[in-house]
Amino acid sequence: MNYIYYNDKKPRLLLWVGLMLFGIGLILFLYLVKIRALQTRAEIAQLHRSIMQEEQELRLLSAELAYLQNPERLKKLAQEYLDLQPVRNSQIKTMNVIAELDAEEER
Amino acid sequence: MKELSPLTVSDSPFLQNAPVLSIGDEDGQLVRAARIRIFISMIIFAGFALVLITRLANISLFNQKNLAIMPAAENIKLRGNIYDRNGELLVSSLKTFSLYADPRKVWDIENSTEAILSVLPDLDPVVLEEKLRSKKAFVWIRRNLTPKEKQAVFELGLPELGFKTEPKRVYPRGSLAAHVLGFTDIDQNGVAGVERAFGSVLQTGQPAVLSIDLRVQFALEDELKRGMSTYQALAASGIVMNIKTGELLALASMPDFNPNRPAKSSPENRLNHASMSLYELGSTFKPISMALALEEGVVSAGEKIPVQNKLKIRDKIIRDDHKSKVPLGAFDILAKSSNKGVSILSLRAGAQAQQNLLRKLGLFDRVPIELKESARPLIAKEWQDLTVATVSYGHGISVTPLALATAISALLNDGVYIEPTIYKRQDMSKAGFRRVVSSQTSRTLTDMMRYVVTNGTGRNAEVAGYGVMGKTGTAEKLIDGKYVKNRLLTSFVAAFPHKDPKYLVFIVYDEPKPTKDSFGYATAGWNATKTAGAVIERIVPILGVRPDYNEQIALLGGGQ
Repeated sequence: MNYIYYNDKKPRLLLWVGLMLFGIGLILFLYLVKIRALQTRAEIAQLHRSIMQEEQELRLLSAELAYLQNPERLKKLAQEYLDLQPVRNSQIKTMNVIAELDAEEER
Repeated sequence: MKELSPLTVSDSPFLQNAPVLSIGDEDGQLVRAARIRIFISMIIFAGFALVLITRLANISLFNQKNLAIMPAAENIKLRGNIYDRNGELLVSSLKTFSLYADPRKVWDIENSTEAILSVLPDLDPVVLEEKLRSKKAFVWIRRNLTPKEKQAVFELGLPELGFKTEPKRVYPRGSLAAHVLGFTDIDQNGVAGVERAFGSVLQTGQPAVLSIDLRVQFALEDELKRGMSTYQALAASGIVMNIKTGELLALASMPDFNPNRPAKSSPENRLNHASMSLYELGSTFKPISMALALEEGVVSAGEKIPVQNKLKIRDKIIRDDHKSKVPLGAFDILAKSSNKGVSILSLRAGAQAQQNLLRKLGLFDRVPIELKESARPLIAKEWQDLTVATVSYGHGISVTPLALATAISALLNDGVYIEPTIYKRQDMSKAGFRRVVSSQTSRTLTDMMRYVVTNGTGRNAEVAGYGVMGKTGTAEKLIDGKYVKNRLLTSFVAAFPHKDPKYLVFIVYDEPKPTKDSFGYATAGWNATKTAGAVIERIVPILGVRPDYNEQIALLGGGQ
């Protein structure tokens, strides 16, 4: 009987230590999770930034494309290198007209 | 440490029933408790140390990335883009870098000045040096650098230089559709055109899709520019409109400006003549008078109107440019552009009917277009018989080219008026429309306007196979209360195809001059008409309108 209090203190101590360790473990776990979250957040920010950068790049490129495809510029280039002119009405023929021409030739 | 054993007293026979005393126990317990506390503290501290070490290891070993959270500057909301009806980019907003300097950090002023000038040669060396010499902590060197310039400046490696990101509105098409698009001030607020009209939408980053077709716009501007130089005109306007939807496919005003640098252009260049300038457009008003006569039933098929006689109203003699010695039918009155003819017909219809029709055609009010640049017409306060006569041939009433284009569109659109728009129309049911004249009147008018091109003053606008209809207008300009003979305002309103009118083209020249091949004439038939024809020839392949060479004109009751 005399040692019983010893014996029933010991498991309590163990329980305490165990709980303590568990608590510390939990805190540690929480801490690590938080670090992970922080890292992920930074990663998200990084991704957001690169998305925005890409969007900027895209905007810039579309503006540049629009500038390069500007009709005024294309007109100048076409005149300089291709000797092209806008389509004349006389260059457009309907199928009926072509069929008639064809028939005339055969005759 | 010596192990303490507990003192037990329970064995003593004297104290069988005595309460248990455990002083020694208490001591022992205290010591043990202390040890436990120490142990727990150690664990806690060890735990903390472990956490710190872990974190330290984590940061030093694994975490190479910058943990900084996004700077707020990256989040600037850019103004929305503007596209044409086919999704072609017309206006965009870019993030640009603006270069500033902190003069306190300058080491060698001359060296820095030289280095900066080597990259940005167009800067003023004196001003730049002065800036770098100042005692301020911040001076702008150059706003809105291009990415290439930014990189070049960056590579100079000067510690006093820094960049700030700023949004900038760019118009990659240059002056194309400048008057439609408008421009913004330095704070990105819309000042004119679509930028102003849709400012609140664009501000939220939403794009705007216009009814404009980039290719049609270019064809129109290209031909107008050619006309401006050929005819040496002061100004010109051009409109291409979809008659069936009220959408503006192109709207141009010359001279134009570059919206990328609006401050460098004059206010005259920035003025949108097509929707802001009020003109007495003259004979292009006559289709309206014809519609009035047809609608009111004051002219019967085959009836000849005595235009050879002198016509005098309140001491004013009404004259014709192309004098006729014989009475003319309605078709020829329009084809020969007889002022007397339309005056007589309009007087028959009466002032009330004329005013009603003009009002229904929207000519008594500003054009209900989204653009703020839409001028209110100038109308006579008193509507006498002389007013009826002059208005019938487009005098004594000043409207914008857009207003007349809208009105003629309504007459040709089976007689149904549709509110014009600069926005791409997705849902026709939302467009405001009303019947103005009957289908029959509209049909007859298309025949009459076709006849003007085949047999009248509009011959130069003919494009074979497309059934071009039209009406010329040559008006003397009113200067200091007098009409001046050689200062003309010429216009041509065209529409096609005749079978089922779908597109309207309106060209106006302000003070065109005669050319070598025009026999000294500067009337509409020699300039505006030619330009309209050229525009039609260029836009039909774009619009996908097929030629129809078998078209037979049924000239109902017309012709001589």
